[in-house]
Amino acid sequence: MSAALLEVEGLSVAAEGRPLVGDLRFAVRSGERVGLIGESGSGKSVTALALMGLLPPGLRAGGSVRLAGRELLGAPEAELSRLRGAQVSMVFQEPMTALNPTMRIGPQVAEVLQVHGRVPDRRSAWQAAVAALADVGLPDPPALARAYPHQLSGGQRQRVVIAIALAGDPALLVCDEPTSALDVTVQGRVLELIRRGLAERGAGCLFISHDLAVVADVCERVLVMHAGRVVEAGPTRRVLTRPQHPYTRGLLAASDLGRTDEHGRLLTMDRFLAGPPPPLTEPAPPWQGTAEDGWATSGGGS
Amino acid sequence: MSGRGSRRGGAAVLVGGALVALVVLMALLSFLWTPHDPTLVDARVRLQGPSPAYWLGTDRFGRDLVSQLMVGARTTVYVGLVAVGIAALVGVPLGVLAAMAPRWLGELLMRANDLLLAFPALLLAVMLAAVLGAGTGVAMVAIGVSTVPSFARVVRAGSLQVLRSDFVLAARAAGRRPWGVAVRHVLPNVAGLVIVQASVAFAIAVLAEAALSFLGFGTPPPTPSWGRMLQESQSLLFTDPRLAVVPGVAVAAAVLGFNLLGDGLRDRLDPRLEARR
Repeated sequence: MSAALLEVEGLSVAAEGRPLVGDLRFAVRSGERVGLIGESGSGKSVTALALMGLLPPGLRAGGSVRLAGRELLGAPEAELSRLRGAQVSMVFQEPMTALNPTMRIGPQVAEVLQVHGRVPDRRSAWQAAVAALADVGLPDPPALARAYPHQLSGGQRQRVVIAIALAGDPALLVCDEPTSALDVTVQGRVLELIRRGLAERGAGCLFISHDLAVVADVCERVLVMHAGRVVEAGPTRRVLTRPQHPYTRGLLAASDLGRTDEHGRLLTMDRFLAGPPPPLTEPAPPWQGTAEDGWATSGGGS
Repeated sequence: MSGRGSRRGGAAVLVGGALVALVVLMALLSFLWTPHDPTLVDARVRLQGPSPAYWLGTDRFGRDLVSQLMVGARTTVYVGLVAVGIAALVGVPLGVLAAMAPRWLGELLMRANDLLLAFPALLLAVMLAAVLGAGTGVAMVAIGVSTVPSFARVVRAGSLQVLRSDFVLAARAAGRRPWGVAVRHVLPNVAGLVIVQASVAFAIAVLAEAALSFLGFGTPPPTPSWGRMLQESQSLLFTDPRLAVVPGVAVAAAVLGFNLLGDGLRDRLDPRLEARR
């Protein structure tokens, strides 16, 4: 078992005293792809932003996030800027808004290389940007580098976003619903791209999605998040075939288009949950994860 | 979509642009050629009506109105450019700073800005002119300074919106420092707003310059200026209204032109994050 790349312990996020995410703990090892699933509003994206140190003003994170042994929470902004894009980078959900509309594609890719001093001058930055665009399978990279974002399709833009995220050769890639805004036909190719990019760099990945099929396809392990808490975790196959928590069972049933209720309608979540989730201000209900699921962090089996 | 987008505000931009172009061309042409010397006093031709020699007639000193109008346009454009330049150079960075700074600092800057904004621009200009003495330079600075707050306000609002966008988050996630975010991502995306604001501010500057000159705080004689032409026409308003109408129409046309241009550009540039170019 290699040392954990990302160790999250007791991470909580609160908005002006109101907790959004409570007592999160998990780890991602190098080269490992970990899924974080849950419905909208369950705290997935906030978790991602907290890991990046990019929480919007008004939101506060507590606990501990360590990347390769370095504590990120509370680290000075200058240090975080050095890490972002180089050690840890992010793929955003919405490719239509994740690119600057007033900037050509090439400079946007080159930007991350220049910021981190990976290239000596503008010329080589441009060449590296074109190479990065070629690397994500975009057609005619030199011409594309001179295009503006609105001239590209959604799938092409997401490839550019991925090219930017991978350009700095990060050790950890945080993907926040990277394929949710894309056509189903493009999804598979973009996922393959992410998988290949990760494998080439031996990078770890935290893959956030509400799409169980996508997570099953990409991730080795998975965390199920509900109302700001992780309610279940384990190897993807086990969690998705033998779910323990009622919420996970509900998620699975709700995404099973073959199953319907007594009225012939697709199943919804509410029939699987006994009531509203416990508020985050209360201590977490006991969670039945085991050490062999690999969720124990540096301390070893807990 | 692009078809509709390119036509929106089209007429306003066209008419406004034409009026602005007319003023600017008049100013430029005046460097090369004017029908007569605009400052030449000739008692023999005083208060003449329009004629082939004097297209718009002469004033009570026998000076040609067309020539005065042309050289006056120079003053108008010059004062407008410098005043708007000052306002934009100070107001734009101030607005971006107020948007990106910690909340308390941003609020502090904007409250100070409000204080300045609450002050009528013309009054401020008159005050500055009174303290520093009359002159084109003082008028430019005074108009510029009093226009700073409107730039800062508009740019701050636009910057706040841009700062909330995904691509700013993405730039930060790629390791961009605040300075880089401001220069590469925020400024280009508020440029449209700045252009619109500049043309509206230009209209205000034209009016303010005319008003200051009218009041005697602006361009000193003998340099022709639309405002002073208006002032000199005052005593003859009932005997020869032509003297007031000519510079009055010129000021109105310039102000209208810049306002129309600003409005048209606003319509065209406003849905800023949609497809452009």
